[in-house]
Amino acid sequence: MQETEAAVLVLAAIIVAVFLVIWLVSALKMKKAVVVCRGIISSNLDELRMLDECWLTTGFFPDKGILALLADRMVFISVLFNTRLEIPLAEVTGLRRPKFALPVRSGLRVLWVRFGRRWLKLSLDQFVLAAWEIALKKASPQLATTRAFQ
Amino acid sequence: MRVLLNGLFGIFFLVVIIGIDIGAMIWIFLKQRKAEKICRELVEKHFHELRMMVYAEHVKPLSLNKSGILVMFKDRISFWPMNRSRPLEIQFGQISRVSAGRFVSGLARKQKLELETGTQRLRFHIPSLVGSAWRAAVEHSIPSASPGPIG
Repeated sequence: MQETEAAVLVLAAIIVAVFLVIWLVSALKMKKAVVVCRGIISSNLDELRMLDECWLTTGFFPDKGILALLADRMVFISVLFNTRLEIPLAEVTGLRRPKFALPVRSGLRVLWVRFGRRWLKLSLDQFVLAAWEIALKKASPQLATTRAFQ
Repeated sequence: MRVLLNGLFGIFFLVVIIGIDIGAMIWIFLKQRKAEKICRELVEKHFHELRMMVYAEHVKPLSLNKSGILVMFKDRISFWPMNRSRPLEIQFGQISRVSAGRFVSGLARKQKLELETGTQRLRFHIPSLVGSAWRAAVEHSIPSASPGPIG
């Protein structure tokens, strides 16, 4: 009987600890997002075209952060790690959006951006993804001639 | 007989679950198409005055939330409802107070954004990480707007 009670207590402690870690990570994420957003707005408001939260996957693990489209570049600043990626629009050579992706309840859809030799996977809100695609086409006219847009 | 009834109940339950799932997918798909039309129109026509754009819900007391696209232009904020009714426009000059609140209870991925004009208070739920950007941009555009709490 005592063993069962101890097991229940351990399980409860683990559940509480997991919730605390999740809460702490979101609080830290939020705090960092405030700093990042304020930085972008204070230095780039005049050339800002779009801004939203985004998951960026360059390697195996995705990274969450703020993605901003400026007049001549895209900037991704992570709120999880100390990552900052600047993508000059002149070096973006392709754009791809799966046309027949199933709708998902997570609320995210994928936009692939070709930068240099690699494809970057941007997971953005499914309701404004089209706006990002069109805005990128408008911001980098050289893309309109590539096959990736067809 | 009982086994047969149990089996039938199981199949019925499965059909209901799958039906709800397919229904939700169709609903999201239709919403996506509406959103795409709005986004296309907004970006094609107003690209050079565009600043920020997010999916948002307009919260009204005693009524259902209205979903749509919240857009910030150089001189105003505009909310385009998904049901294609008339967009709501707020000039920066009309805003007297702005606040980006804490997490909305129950929806950890959303944040409150409140804009106060002389006559009304507009409340939106927007993605959790960009609330401060909206607040900072409004404050930057209208230095006279008094800031509210930030989450």
